Amino acid sequence: MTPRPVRIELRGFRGWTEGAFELDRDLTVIVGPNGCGKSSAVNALEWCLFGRDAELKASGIDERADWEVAHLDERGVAGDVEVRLALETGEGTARLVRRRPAGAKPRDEDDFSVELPDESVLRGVEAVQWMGAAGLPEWGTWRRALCQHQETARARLTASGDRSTLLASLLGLETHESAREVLEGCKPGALVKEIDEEVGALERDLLARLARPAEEQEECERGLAALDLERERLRPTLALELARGLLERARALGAELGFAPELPDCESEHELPRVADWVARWPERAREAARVDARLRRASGLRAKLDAADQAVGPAEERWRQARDRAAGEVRARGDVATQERLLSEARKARDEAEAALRRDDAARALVRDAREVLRHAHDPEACPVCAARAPGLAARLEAELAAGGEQRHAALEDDCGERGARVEELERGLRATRELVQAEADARASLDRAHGALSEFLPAGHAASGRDPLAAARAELERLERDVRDLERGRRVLDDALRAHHADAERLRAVQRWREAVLRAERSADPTSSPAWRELQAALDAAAAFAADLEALGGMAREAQERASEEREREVNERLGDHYGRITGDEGAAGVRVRGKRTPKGLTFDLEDARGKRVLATLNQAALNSVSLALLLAQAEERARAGRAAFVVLDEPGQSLDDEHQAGLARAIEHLAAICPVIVATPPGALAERLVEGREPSRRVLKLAPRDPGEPRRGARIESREER
Amino acid sequence: MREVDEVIEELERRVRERGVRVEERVALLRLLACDEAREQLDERRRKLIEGVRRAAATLRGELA
Repeated sequence: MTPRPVRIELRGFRGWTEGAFELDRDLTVIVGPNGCGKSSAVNALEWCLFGRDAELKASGIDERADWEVAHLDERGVAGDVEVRLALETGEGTARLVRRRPAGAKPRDEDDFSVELPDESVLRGVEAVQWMGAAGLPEWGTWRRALCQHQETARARLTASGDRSTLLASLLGLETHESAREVLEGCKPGALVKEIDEEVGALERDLLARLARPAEEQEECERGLAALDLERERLRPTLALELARGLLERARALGAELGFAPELPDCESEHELPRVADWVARWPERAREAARVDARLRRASGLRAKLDAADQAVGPAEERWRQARDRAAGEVRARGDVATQERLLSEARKARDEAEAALRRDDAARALVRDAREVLRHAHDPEACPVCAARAPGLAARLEAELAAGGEQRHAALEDDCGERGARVEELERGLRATRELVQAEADARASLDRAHGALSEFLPAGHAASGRDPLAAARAELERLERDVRDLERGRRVLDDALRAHHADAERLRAVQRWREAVLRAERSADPTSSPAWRELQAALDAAAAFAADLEALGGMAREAQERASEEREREVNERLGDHYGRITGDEGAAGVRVRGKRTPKGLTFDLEDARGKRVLATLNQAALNSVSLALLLAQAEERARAGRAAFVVLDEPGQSLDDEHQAGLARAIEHLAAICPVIVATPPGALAERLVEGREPSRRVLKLAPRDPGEPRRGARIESREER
Repeated sequence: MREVDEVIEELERRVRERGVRVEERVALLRLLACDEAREQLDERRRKLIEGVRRAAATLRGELA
């Protein structure tokens, strides 16, 4: 059993503050004047089912761009919204509950749940999945086939794409159409074209490259001729032979220069890339391993230093010999330092004694002169002025003493003193000169010792212990270094020559390898199909082409299936559409309008035409357009219901633009459909309402809504009466 | 049975009647039951043409 709505409860939804009403199994008629809440009542049902899909731009209904779901109170403030829709199912009554709290943001999810007959509750994705499994429609199907919104009564017919989709839906071909669109939307034809373009570009490239390898080979052969490798000498193994020659020469060079080089294997052509790498690095490695330059620099430096030290020894020795001879001559002339020191000491002592004798004589003479002066002024020149003792002739004796020889003795003492002082000075000068020469000889000796020491530093270890003359040893060492330098210079020439030859050989090897690769490319390009990449390309092309062919074939089959289904169903559906249209217009005998499929390059499109096969929409008036739109909707709903798919129809003011006669006809069509599936109609008082309210078959519930109170515009919708027939 | 399954079944019957690349085409048809059928087919198409371009580039490289 497909779900059928049986009751709706709403709170805070658009025109309603609160309300609840039962829905009839056949027909529910909601009647009331404008603004009393009729549309809000039917909108609440679809909002409960579809939530935000039925709102604002997502709805696809332009008039809903500014839709406000919540009821606004006296202050214009929105509150919580809740709609509960009870559905009768095979297992019992299930309830869909949608809640939206006041202040919810446009992207906030509603609180949506399904209360199942067994009292379990599903929420979120599970709840939506339950709806799909129960056969409840999606928003698109609802809009197109089950609900007539008064805002879009005719819009479905005016856009050709929508109309074709609508008519395909009427024929039950939506899924065929969708499957065909998915298959053809992948554009298999364009895929084949892309593959063709890729293959074409590849072919152009290949043709251009087929000619290139032969030219490249000839150019390589010209280059090899310039390197003394004539064409007749060229052979596949030449690169291998050249590489082995290079390795052999490297080994010989190592042996000559005293090192063992690390060489790569060279048994087959596969090893040539490694050999080529070694060839490129060999000059640097050979120089590193031979160390000729470093050794030559060291030997040359040592030789220069030893030579300089050797040159310094001779002059130092000469300076020492001269100093030694001068010191020896001085000693021979004056005696050694100790003798001179002794003589100087004795001379100083004699000088000191002579000076003392002179001082004593000076004192005695002064005393005599003093005494003569005293006596010269005394009363008694015969008596001592001090003790008064008598000394006859004292004054005369003093004069005689002064006059007789005192001066001569004093002069002799002074001469003696001067001679002895001169002797001391002479001895002091001699001693200083001797000491200076002895010191000069010692300094020269020390300088000579340092020169020998410097020389020893450059001599081999153990030289000192050998007792050999350092100078001779140095000379021998210098000779050895000279030999080393000569050998190393020769080794450097050998290395340079070998590496020059290596560079030339390496260039030949590279040229031969390039030639060999050119030959192989020429061989390959002559037959690209032997390449693994060719086979890979063929496999990729086959896979892509097969995919395109599969899509093309399946798209064709989908189109065939759609056309066959269309042909099968057109007559039956047209009959049903004609019935509804005839009922609404009162012209039940006329064929009126019918759906006709038309094959186009893009697929099967559908349109409406009259009995003569002409498109009818351009010639229909507003009432006829509404009649066709309603007939299509009713026919679609009937199709779904008869196919066992969930169907209940909601019509919001379907009588627009219809005169009383058409409204009566519409009432007949609605009653016809209500006998097949539940129908809910919201309509203002009028011919349609009267007919639907008065009718007896099928069963119906009539809900009359009270007019809005102009004094309380925010009060909300109210149910004035309920009637069940 | 869902409508899409019915359509797939009908198309599969036609594929089997033709008897050409039945297995591959039935596998493609089964994709139609997925919500992301279009995206999956587009992805497969993209990979196939990429495979062709890659193989062509490899061949060009080998012959270069």
